[in-house]
Amino acid sequence: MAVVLVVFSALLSNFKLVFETATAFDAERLGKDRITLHASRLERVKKALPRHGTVGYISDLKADDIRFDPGFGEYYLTQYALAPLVVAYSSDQPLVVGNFRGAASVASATLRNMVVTKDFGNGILLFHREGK
Amino acid sequence: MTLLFSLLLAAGIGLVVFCLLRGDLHTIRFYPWLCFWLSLGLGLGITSGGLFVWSILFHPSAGYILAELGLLAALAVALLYRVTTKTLAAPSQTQPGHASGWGSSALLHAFFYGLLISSLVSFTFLSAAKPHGGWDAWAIWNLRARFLFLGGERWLDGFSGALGWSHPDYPLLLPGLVARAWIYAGQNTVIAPTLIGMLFTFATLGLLVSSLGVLRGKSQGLIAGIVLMGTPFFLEHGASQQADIPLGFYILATLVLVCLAEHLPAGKNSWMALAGVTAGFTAWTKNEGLLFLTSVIAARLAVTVGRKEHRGGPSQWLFFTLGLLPIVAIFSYFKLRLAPFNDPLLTQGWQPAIGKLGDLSRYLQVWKALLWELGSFGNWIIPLPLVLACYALVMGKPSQIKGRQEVGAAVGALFLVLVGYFLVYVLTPDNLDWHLKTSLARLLLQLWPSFIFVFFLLVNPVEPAIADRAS
Repeated sequence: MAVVLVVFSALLSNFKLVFETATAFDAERLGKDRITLHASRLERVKKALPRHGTVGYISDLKADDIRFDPGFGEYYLTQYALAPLVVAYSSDQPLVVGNFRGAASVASATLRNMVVTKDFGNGILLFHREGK
Repeated sequence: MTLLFSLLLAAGIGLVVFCLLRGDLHTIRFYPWLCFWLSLGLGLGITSGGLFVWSILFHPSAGYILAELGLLAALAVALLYRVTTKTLAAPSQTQPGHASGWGSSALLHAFFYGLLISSLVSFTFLSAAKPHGGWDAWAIWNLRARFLFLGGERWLDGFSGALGWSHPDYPLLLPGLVARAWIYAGQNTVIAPTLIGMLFTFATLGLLVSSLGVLRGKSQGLIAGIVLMGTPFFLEHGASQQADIPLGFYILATLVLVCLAEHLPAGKNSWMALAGVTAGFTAWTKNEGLLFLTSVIAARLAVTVGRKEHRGGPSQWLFFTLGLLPIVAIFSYFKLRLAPFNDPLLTQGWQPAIGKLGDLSRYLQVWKALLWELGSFGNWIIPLPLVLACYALVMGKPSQIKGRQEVGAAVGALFLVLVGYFLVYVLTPDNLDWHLKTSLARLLLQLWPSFIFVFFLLVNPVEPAIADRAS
């Protein structure tokens, strides 16, 4: 009887998981997870950046579902996508990657002595600092 | 294919090292599955450490593949020499475990394999939904692996101060393994960390079932495996590619090996040497492993020192240390030269720490969270800890526990780790509520396979319990 109780309880939880994962699965979403999509956004700017070294990062974005710090969500994703380049959350670098949603934000960035080197679309811009 | 080859090669290296340390081939013949899972864990740890040493000497590169092949060849020659020139004591010839009634055993097998298929399906769906793994997987472990694989001569950039948020002080067993698999594959495919996560998840299951099969009988092992697979969080977290499941594997492997040293006395010292290696790998997997390492040493010392019936104690400790030393050397180099501890827990200073130690409300908060998580961390429908408590009441404990000292050491080690985790929360400089909510379930999960192992060592196996009632 005790064994039956253990086996039944385990089966119940295990089958709940397989049911939930199977019903939540959507084949059309394959390759469209948040991290893959963010990496795709950065694909073009990645080619324009050096392979090694440090670049800066500025953004007006706050990502959802971020455990540690909502303001830093897409920064972490950017670092993951651009590795082995080190991405410092700072504009104090000769090259700075911008991750924006609105034109107003781009304008405010340029006010801080940042010059747009290239607009890669999708809110991704590459800046360099004036005088550097 | 190259990915599979890389994992097979790791398993091969582990198997040869296992046989070399055992000094025979009999153990594999008698306990093939147990040896396989232990060897796999050994091989994964050794090759991860190997890549780190190679990277320090040169830098991460495809040349490492040749070095590994050379290592395997050299080890195989050494094994051949050892088994042909030296006859060591064979393991106990008695067949392990208890004879099972055919009916109950067949049913248990059916449930076990049914759950195994269901678990594999769940794991696949989970991995497909999050191919880069959970948050910590891509923000910490796989990020570090990318620096190792893509960084070339600049791989140490991954420890830059600008990346302090990604915990550069975390040990490199998992990133090393992922980077190694990418080196073999020639690209940073998401299949590599997924496969490695799957290996550790199901190797933990295999080790749990096969070790209890040897120590307490096949049925006991199967029931334990069913309990583990009946823990959704174990499978979910395994698919999330984080280091908690690998850490749980090495904790379990260490406790299994310590128990085997008592249960299979032939070549006792070799079991202890292997336990030293796997205990070292816990520290090379996560910083929490250091706590386990000290706990297992303290617990085993406590149950063995001064006991007359415990023969060969000093030599066992010597072999344990010999197994541990190479990993400690790698770990120490990593901590001293590359990535010193920078955890705010350790850098907060004495005054704040003493203040927290004197705050009783923090103890109460941690205690409440612990009690809550104990019943819920597995994402069960019916909390399995509660079910296991009922199971223990019904089945009872054996009149005489085999390998009492080693089981005592295992229980003591797990208890000390739990006490350590408790104190870490009391002392944490982070927001306590946030810290508990984001990590306690994972810490309990690290210990869960070992808890199941110890639990089924302590309760009566199914068959004798039935026999007792019948008589």
